[in-house]
Amino acid sequence: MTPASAPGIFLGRLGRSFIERTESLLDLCALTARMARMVAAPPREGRKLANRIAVEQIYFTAVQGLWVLIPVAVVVGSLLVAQFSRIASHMDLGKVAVLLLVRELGPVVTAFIVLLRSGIAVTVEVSYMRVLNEIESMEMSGIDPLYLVGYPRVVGITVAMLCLFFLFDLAAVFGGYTATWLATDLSLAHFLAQVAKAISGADIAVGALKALFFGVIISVVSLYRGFTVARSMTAIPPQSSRAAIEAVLYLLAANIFISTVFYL
Amino acid sequence: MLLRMKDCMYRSSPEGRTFEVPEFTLEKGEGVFVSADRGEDARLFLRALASLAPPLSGIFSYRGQYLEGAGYRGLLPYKRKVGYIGADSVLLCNRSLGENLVFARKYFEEDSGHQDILSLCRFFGIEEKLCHRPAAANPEDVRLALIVRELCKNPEILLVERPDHELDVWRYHKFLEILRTRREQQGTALVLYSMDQTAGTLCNRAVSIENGRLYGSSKEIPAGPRPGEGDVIAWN
Repeated sequence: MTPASAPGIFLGRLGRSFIERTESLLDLCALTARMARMVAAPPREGRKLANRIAVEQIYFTAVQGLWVLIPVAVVVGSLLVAQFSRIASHMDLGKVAVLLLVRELGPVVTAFIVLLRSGIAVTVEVSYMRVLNEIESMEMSGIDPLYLVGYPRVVGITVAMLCLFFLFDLAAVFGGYTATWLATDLSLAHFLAQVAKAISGADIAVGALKALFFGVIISVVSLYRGFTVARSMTAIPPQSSRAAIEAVLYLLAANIFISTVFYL
Repeated sequence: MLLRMKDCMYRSSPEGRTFEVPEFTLEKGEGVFVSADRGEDARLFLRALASLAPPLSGIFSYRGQYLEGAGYRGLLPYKRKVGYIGADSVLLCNRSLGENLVFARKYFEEDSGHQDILSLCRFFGIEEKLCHRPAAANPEDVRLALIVRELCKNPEILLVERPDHELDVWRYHKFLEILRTRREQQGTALVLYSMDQTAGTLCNRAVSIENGRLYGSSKEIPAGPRPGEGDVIAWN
């Protein structure tokens, strides 16, 4: 057997990496499809318990996350509007707030906060369950782990993401007004009138659509990486990091796609 | 026939070792004692019977239904009928012992009450520790909670790996007595791997695993003294 040449080795690695990534992406799509089917028609058995866990997940992600989200939203909103007030006239500030916060930054920053607080927590939790044989233990009781572990996380994180998106926008717009009020004499009524004039139903609907997609992306990627962790404790930290990076990439790709379809 | 395995091959290690089951059958009420030259092969055999280890090839059927090609969801009804008390069995760590015991019933919304669970907990002396989480309970209580959880499933097949694991002698004998009662009175099929030959008296036949291969035998195990004979057992 002749030894492989350097380009051959490089091509082989490239090919294997491509196949692995494609497989991983297809698995992710399959998991998303299965989750969508479960959400559309949840199995009768275990529905009560799964719904209870979903409510717990909403509490963990949305209610407990408020203490992080609101200060971040106020700071982001005030900084943005304060910076833009230097280059834009007072009349444009409402428009700037809508364009930047509601359309783009709101969903993305909310998604990052949800990913950091809940997405990674889900990956670590599910990974531990797998490594410690808890998933097997559920299966041995006849319980579908995908339904009891996956479904509540997808529903909980997606619903929480939608709620947090609206709250982020509200907090950011008010943060923006605070910054304007400190630097100028613009009245609240005037600022809100600008915002109301600039915002349309489509902006809110597209923002909500982004939040919905982002919620699904964060939960499915986190679950997928958790369920596919190798059976070793040391595999959990790199897997969590991989889940976070992948989720960020998919979030940005989805954001670009949705913004291109609706705004460009 | 409850269970049948034919020409089943399993991967027993990442290095490529295999474990082979040429032929294995299990009838209702039967007790099979497993001895092995390697403990991990015995565990793999029990895991294979619990359908936790997928075969690389071969036929695996339960009541005439082939299970080897079923996906994980297709195997859930079978798994529900199997009690697996392995050394690698665990409780859910974010729930208390008590919550673990009723977890499956809550999932399936069974309204049968929890009297059987409570009486077994009382029998093993863990009824006051049910509020503890597994990390806060001692290993023996966790093991007993595991045993109670599996017994309360009323399984058709009970797979037990090292019944003495984590238990003191008194509770070990109580556990063996319950296994005997389940097999003789309720017709539960029992597959038992133990290094304690006394436990073999619970079974009516023996199989052995050598060099990664299962050798079956229909040889009757002579009845010996009952484990824990003389103990007062108040189990009903």
